[in-house]
Amino acid sequence: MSSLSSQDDSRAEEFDLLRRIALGERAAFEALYDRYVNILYASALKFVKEDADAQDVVQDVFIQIWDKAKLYDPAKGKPLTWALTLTRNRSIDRIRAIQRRTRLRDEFEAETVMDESVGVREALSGVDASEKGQILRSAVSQLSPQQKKVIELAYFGGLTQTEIAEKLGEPLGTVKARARRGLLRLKELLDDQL
Amino acid sequence: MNREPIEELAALDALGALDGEDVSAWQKACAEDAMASRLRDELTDVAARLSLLASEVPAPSALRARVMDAVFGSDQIKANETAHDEESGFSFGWGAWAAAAGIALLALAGAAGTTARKESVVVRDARPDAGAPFVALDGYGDYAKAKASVVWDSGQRGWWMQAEGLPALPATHRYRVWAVGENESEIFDCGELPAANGCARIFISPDPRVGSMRGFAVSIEPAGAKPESPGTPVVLLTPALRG
Repeated sequence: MSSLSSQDDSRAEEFDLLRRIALGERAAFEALYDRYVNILYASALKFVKEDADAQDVVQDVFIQIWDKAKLYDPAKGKPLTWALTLTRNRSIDRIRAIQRRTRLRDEFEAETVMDESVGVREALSGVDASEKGQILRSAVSQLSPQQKKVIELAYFGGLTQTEIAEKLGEPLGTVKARARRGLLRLKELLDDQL
Repeated sequence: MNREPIEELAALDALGALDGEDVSAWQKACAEDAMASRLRDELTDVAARLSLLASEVPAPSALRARVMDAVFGSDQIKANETAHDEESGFSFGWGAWAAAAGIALLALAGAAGTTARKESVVVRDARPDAGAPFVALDGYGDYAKAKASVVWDSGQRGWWMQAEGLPALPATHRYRVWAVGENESEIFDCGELPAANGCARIFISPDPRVGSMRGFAVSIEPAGAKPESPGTPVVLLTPALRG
């Protein structure tokens, strides 16, 4: 109970920081930077692999936060969710821009050969020992290998449903169904835990 | 009602994997069904949590100064620019840009990429149709050899701008892209257009404040600046914006 209350307090603080950023308050922006930078940098690094690229991504994300904080709608999601989504999208854009996507997919393929469940394990490599990491790892482990693979290729690989279907040699409807079941299952497992 | 199709599209959208006809079908579903849009937001939240799987790596300490410079250093420049414009009595207008810059222009090439963008929390493109799939930009005078085109990417729900023949700029300045709404007073900064060897490409996310688009422009601005309106010279301009 205290944990949930702590989470609520933290989110309330982040909402307030974004509200103040929207008003142009530098101190709020710096506070949000200090709160998010490590997790956003780690997330970006997960996608783009290179430190310089990850730094570029994080810089772009914070510039976007500063520019678009006034458009933030708390009813549509948590501030950290928004920041992570920005980071993921900027990272995927960068991967494509520097023609590194093929390498990532090859890496993923190689690991998949070694272990069918590696789809999400790849995403979990280097996972921290934090409670959040453990909860996520536990939740992800309960997905089927096929569901993990679709989620991995889409979220971390940046592939569209059509590209995933082609890559896996599966009907598009199958890919859709796996994405649906996998993400709904994750939602069920993670709700109110993170 | 069978919810599975809705749940499939919501999941794929959350994962950034929607493409093809499903994009418009999903936009329509969200517009008509509050539960669909709510599910989309919920699953987007779930998908974003996957990023938390990455181990927390301390960001380089130098990054902080770099980000602050990028954000606040430019504000100071913007203030200076604004003051300069006021002092010079510069009157903003697309026609004035064209005349002042002696714009020249061109046509251009394709687009690519397929990142399904879902910065849905705050910047989702709610418009059912982004309008014309291809827009050419023209340039004049010193920029006559420049060429640019903007192509709508239905998969990513945004535009790709590609330009070539851009003259090299001094280190103190950058090319910057602007989107213009149907009401020409609606002008939105789309960010820097990073050019290398005269070529550049940028993905432009639709601004939710724009109901319909009239065109685009590219101007030259001081490096690091985040101006609220384009300065001169304007290098490239959608013909429809010439006044």
